[in-house]
This record gives sequence, structure tokens and C-alpha cells, in this order.
Amino acid sequence: MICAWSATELAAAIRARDLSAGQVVAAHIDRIEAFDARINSFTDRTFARARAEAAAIDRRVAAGEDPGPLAGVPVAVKNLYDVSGLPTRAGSRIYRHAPPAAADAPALARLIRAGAIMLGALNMDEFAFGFVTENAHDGDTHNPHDLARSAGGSSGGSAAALAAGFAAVTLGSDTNGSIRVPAAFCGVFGLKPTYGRIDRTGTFPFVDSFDHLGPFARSAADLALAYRLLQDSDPAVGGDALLPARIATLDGWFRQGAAPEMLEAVDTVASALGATATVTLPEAARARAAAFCISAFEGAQLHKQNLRDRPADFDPATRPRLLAGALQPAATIYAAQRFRAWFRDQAKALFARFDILLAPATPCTALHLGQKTMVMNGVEVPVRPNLGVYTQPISFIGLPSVSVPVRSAGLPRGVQLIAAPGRESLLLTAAAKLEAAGAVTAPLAAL
Amino acid sequence: MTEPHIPNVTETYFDVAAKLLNLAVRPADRPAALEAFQVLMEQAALFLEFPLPPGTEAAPRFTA
Repeated sequence: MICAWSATELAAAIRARDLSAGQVVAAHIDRIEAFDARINSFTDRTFARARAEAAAIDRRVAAGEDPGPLAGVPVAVKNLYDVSGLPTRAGSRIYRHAPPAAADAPALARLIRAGAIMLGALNMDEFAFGFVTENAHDGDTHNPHDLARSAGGSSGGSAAALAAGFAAVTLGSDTNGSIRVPAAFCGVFGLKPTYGRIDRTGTFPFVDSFDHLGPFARSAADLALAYRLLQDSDPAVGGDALLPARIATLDGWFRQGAAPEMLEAVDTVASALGATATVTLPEAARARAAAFCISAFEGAQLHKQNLRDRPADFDPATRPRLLAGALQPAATIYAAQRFRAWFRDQAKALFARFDILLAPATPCTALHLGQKTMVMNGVEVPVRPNLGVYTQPISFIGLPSVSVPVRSAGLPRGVQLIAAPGRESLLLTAAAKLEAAGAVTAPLAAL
Repeated sequence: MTEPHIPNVTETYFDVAAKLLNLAVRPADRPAALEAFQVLMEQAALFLEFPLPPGTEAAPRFTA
């Protein structure tokens, strides 16, 4: 089935004229039309554009040109990316009738220049402030592996569309875990690069201090390819030479509260990478708390006028948290930023001893849609603020992290591979090694 | 007889800060917003009193 092929396989077949881009796009459109009513991953479909782009790719191939490494590969993006001709709604009601974007966001434009075909925009939590993609305006996104469960968030549409075989590469954003959490829940690969690595121009912001863009894919090779195309500063090659790396499993905060199957997933990855050491990232609980407070504060600043003028237009799940965030004392945010500087130094010291750190991406597998609480450490806690407990300390200091999908008979499980700033190539190489060893895999969901 | 509600210091701060910032918290939103604010303050307590070294600065430091 064409929709199960990786981006790398599709582009190779199209460049070799074994398949046409028109065939590939038609197959993906058929699948979206057949199944997305169950998943609700797309908020906007750009099928006319996709057919025109596919025809252009086929003309170039017929003329003997090489359209690029993503020739004819169907892609889609979280709806906070500018997409030419569409309002950039960022999951909101407030901006859904905004003037259409005049051009694609530079990150998307890079993929299109490499031959990709744009299929549409994808569902998310309102203003990226959430981990569940339960959106009051656009509906819930369902996990393709179990339709009663959450796809995670806030880039839930991006992960679900990939797991469902609606696209071969998708883009999302990650402020506190919004790529890694849905990648884990939906059983796909997700990369949150180093802070600042990918140009955020043309995307709707959430928290300037922590916002990152990044790709999702169903193979490590596709993830690496997308990452290489999304930026210029890191060729992301030569990672093979860096392995075997010094790898350790994070203990303390990163094991407390995790379900046994999540710890087993971390151990599987550690074993496959030959990692035997464990290490503590000091004060990760305080780091998570500081990230939590800064996020609510900075996020609220963007929306203060709309909170005054049109509060009823916010998602009821978002509005109270933005109001609360706006009211925090300045001393809190100053202390959180000071703590951030200190915590960054603690991580830096750790990376003098280790190259890759391992931790669960989430405390549990995908939860049921609408589930309000879960149990951690024997205590019932609210879902929304706690799904990102293991991802927040990492994005707090801008470290690159790949969430890899660990092979499982049940629901998907994600494990974070974390490195020092700028070492994405090492993470991508480790992800490829895990995939080659059969420890991680991102099969298409059976729909 | 129902005891009159006496706002605690967090509630008082919440209401005064909302007025200062001209953020009219609608009565229907107040319970959820106040609860979210209390969660933020509980989280803040984890790092507010943490003894950081004196030279720890929030601003980035540029070194050659």
C-alpha cells in the first residue's frame, strides 16, 4: 500500500519513474477521505493545491529534472504554520477568519522546494496550550491506534495523520513537549531540535522562550531527511562515527510516576544502545515547575487583549489557564528565568560525562479522550498539566530530543533520546540504530 | 447559617491583580482561573525559595 511507504521510499520511486506523484497524492487523498472522519486530524485540506503540485513534479520528472529529495512526498503541517491561502488559526476560533497567509512559513516552504506536496493543515490544542488535542472549536483528534484514546498534543493532528498514513512527513511545534508527547502516544518518530535551530518565522507563537519547530516521521531516515531540509546550519551527517556514544538513563524525577510499561520501554532502548549507566539531572522537578510558570505567563501576554475583548471566543479549557498565567507576580517569572540559567549549567555538566540521556516521553501510554485525571506515584493528578512532566525540563533549556516509538504489542510507547545543544545528528543516528535493531518501529495503524 | 466567605491572600491577590491589569475575570471563569492560579503558585514555590548562587543571572552572558 502506497500510504505505508516512507518518504524516502516514495521519493526514490517517483524519481525513478516507478510511481508518479499524481498516483501517490491520489492514494493519500483517498485515504484521508475514507478515514479522517474517524481521526479528525485535518482542519484544512489543500487537495487542489496538492494535485497541482503533483502534476508539476511529474512534469519535471518527465523532463529529466530532479525535483528534490522529497519529490512527490505528501506532507501536512500543524495549523499554526502559515499556509499560503489559509488563515493561520492556531487552533483558535479567534483567528480562523483572519486574512489568509500570503506565503507558506519558511519551514514548510523548504519542504516544498525539496519536492514535497502540501495536503493540508492539522488539528491542535488551542494556541498550543495543551497535551491532548481536545479542541472545543475543531473537535478532538483520535489516536489511530485506538480511536477512544487521545493522540496527545498539542501537535496531535500531526502525529495522528502520520500514524494513519495520511502523509509521509508532518510538521509540528514543541514548547513543553508538544512534538514528543503526541509522537509517543501515536507511535511515530518526533524531533524537537535545539532551541533556535529551525526558523520560526511564519508560525503562530505560544511561548517565545521555549517554542521550537520540528518534524514527525515514520522512520528514522525520514526524520533525519526532514530535519536536514528544515535548516542549513547542521548538515546532520557523520553521526555514525560518533557511536558508540556514552549513554545513560535518567533516574530520579524521570522515573518517578512513570507506568511500569514506560520504564520497560526505556530499559529496552537502553539495552539496545548498550547503556548501563544511570544518572541524575538535578532538580528536574523545579525545572518543570519553572517551565510551567513561564509558559503560562508568556503565553498569556500574547492574548491579553482578546481575553479582555472577546473571552467567550476562547476554548473553555484554555481561557482560565491564560487568565491565571497573566496574573502571576513578576518575581515568580524572574526567579524562574534565573533558575533556568542555573539548570542549564547542571545539564551542561552532565553532558561532559554523557552524550545521550534516556527518559520516558510520557508517564503513560495514550489516555482516553476526555479523561481528566490519572494516577502517578499512587496519587490521582490532573491529566493536562502532567502529561509533559518528562518533556518540560528538556525544552526548558532548549536541548534537542527525539521521541522514538518502542515496539509494543499494546499501545505505542515513546522514549526520549536527549543530547547537548547542537547534537541532533547523534540522536538521529541513535534512532536509526534502534530502528535497525528492531527495538523501535512506527507501523501504520490498522484503520 | 452559612459562614461568610473570607478570601485568603491568594484570592485577594488574584482579584486585585486582575483589576490592575484590566483583566475582567467573568464570574463563571473565576473558580477555574483561581484554581489554575493556585496550581501556578504551588509550582512557583518549588523554585522561589531554591538557594541559587549569587551570580546566577536571568539574562544571557556572552563570553568570548
